[in-house]
Amino acid sequence: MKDTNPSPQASFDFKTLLSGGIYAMTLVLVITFIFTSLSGFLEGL
Amino acid sequence: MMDLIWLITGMLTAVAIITVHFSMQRYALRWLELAGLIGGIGLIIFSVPWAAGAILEGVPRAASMGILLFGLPGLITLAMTWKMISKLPKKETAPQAAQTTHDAATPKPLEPIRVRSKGKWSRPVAYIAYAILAIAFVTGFFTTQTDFSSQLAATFPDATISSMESKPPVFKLEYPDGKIKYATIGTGQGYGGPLVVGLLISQDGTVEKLKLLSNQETPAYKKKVEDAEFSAQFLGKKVSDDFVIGQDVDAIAGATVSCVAGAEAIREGSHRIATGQLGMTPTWTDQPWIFDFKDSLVLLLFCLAFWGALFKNKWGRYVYLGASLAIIGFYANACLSIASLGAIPLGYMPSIKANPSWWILTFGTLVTIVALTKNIWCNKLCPFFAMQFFLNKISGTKIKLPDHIAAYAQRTVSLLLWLSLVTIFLTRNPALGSFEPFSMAFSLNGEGLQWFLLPVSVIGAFFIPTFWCRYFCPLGRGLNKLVSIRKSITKKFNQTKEA
Repeated sequence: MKDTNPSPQASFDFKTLLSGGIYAMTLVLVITFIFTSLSGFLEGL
Repeated sequence: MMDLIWLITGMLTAVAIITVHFSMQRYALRWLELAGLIGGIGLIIFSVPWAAGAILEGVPRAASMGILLFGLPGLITLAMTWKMISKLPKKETAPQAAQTTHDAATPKPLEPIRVRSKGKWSRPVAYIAYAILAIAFVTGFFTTQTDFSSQLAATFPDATISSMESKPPVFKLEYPDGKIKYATIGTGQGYGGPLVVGLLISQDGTVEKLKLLSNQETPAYKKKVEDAEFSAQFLGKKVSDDFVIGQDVDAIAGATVSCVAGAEAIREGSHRIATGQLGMTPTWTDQPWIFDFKDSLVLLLFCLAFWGALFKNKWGRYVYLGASLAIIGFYANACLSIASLGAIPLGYMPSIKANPSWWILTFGTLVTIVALTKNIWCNKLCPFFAMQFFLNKISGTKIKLPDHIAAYAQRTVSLLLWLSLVTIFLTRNPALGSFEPFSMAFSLNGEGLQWFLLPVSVIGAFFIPTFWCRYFCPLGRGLNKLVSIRKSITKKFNQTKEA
């Protein structure tokens, strides 16, 4: 049977969850910001 | 759009159910942990459509509040619960769980972090990236040339218009009742680029009407200036007036650069009509130097940044960073951003007489890079670094991103810098490419997404030291890139000298 549970080292511990979550959230916001700016400009052309 | 949000919410819910399921399988959860897990996840999931819905309705503040009131407590609850869960003993009853525990006792060694070294593709990719930047620059130059003449002419439909000058345009308007007026444009250099104002001047030399034709100011600042009815004080003034901030017109507190640019534009247009059409001889004064207390403090901080011993002393560093946060950040709000760098190749530089702080910090930093191969902005002058530094000192937590994510995250900064520069060059609007939350952090004037970027980056810096600088700052990456270019030039120069 395939082991679905990750090993403890690879598992999402508290710190990974927190730092990864904040990083991902910021990255999504930054990229959305840039693309919103670009798409707004392209629509205006 | 709402469909996409429901899709994301659905995906989040699915991930949440799987997480709860595996946690229950792996740990002997008590009701408290289970309640915390479900409650925390529930709050986070609830905040997502709330925030998205609020954005779609055009109320980003409500969205920001939704995230702060539901998302953040949800995150804290989840984090605390997760801490409790990780201390619980693992289940050993079910055979599958037993197998897992066995695996857990002898974990497979983690794969080494795969940070790809510079492969054969990195150089071509870099060249392509530079080529696209150059194309964006040229395209932007040809596509964003606005024809202000037609825009100006369209503003006065009831008059007979005759063109007097073309570059910059001056029109003579003759009205059916015999009145003659003049229309022209004036340009000033604002924070984000040129600010163009259309002016209507009566025959006796009075400013009758003003219209903002184009600007690249940060929307929040523009709104502040408009709300304060800055332009109203110019109406009724004579074209021969000085139009100088601090003398015959007042700036709006917190948006000085935009106001100086507005006054500069109106002055330019008015004086053109005064000398060109009304035959006046110049009696007005030139823009004087505005070097006030604020600029002196900025200059002092800039000079102190070269004093190495100050930064070696713990308290010296604390005091310096505190001063940078207070003066460059909150008092002068003169934090550099990628917009400051991007504006230079576009030729959008605010007047040195009216904005000495901008020149001290921007050119001071660049000259230091060229002359001394040193980046004195990051970790020293930058008030956002100081803000993050103190926040992290307060929290006392130094969480690191997992190595494999951190390695990619640091590469992503280059991509973000590139995207930001492409946007700036293509739109010829530095404010559009500047995604940094700096100016909002120090003025709390924000628009749209900035309401989220600031809290998220501040929370990030609370847990992760220099979170923004390490993983997001395009300005920092740009300045460090310039330092490395400068270093490689020296190296090449020395090599040819030796040869």
